[in-house]
Amino acid sequence: MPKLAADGDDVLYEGDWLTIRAMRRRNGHMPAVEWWQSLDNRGKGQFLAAAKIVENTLQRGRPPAGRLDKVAGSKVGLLELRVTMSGATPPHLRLLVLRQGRTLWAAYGFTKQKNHLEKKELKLGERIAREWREEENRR
Amino acid sequence: MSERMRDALRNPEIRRVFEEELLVGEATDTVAGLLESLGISQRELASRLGVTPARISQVLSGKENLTLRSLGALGWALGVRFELRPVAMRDRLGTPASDDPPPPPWLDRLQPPAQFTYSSISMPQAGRLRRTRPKLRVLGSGEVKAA
Repeated sequence: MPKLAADGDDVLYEGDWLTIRAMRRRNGHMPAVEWWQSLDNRGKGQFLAAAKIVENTLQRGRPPAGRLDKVAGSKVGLLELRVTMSGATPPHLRLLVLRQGRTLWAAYGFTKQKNHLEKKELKLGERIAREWREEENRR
Repeated sequence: MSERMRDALRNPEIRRVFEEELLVGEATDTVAGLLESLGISQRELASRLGVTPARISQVLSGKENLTLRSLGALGWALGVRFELRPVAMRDRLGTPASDDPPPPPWLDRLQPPAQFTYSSISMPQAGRLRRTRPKLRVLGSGEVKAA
């Protein structure tokens, strides 16, 4: 059983302009934090670099060029953040997020050998995002 | 900066990957962003550089290190210049340079001077421009002179 992150410990990346925070589920788990904790040092370095690049892209209005794209078929408006770019050497690190201004809310991160987004990953991301949104609306 | 991020960047292995991937990713994302904004296809870029489209795709995937020479050639093909400007890190945790003396002052002088540009002409300015526009008179020779 992964360790639950402490309260307020949901920040995965904090730059001058952009913050990436993990969505918390009703049971207290934060799947994106658990994914981050499972990464090796290389993956953690790659994630932080990708977050900084996305920050630069959004802040300057540079086209995202495949780094952050809308997920086709997502009903809640999920975006796919590609930590490692398509065509790069696997494993591919991906994070499904929702954007709220200068904050990206991370639903679910995963590591895979194939490049395309599988249905089960999208479904899980959607479920986490929907649950998080309901909780946010309730507050 | 969050505690999690600070802890991660204190780790020399993570910090090194971060610095390497940031430079490679910024270079490839900037080239890809330029292609998109300029409306130039990877095939067209390949043709300008005399390489195969597969080579361009490989470069843009970040799979391969772009050499400085390749970056210079890409800039030439797209009409932009990539400048190399070392910027002192705000903190040097997780780097072998953490206990080094501060960076030399000339490093700051390599940064481009701050520029201020008007994004648009304001209405009062535009009005004044209209009012002060000189009346012109066309001479028989076709020459135009202020009246």
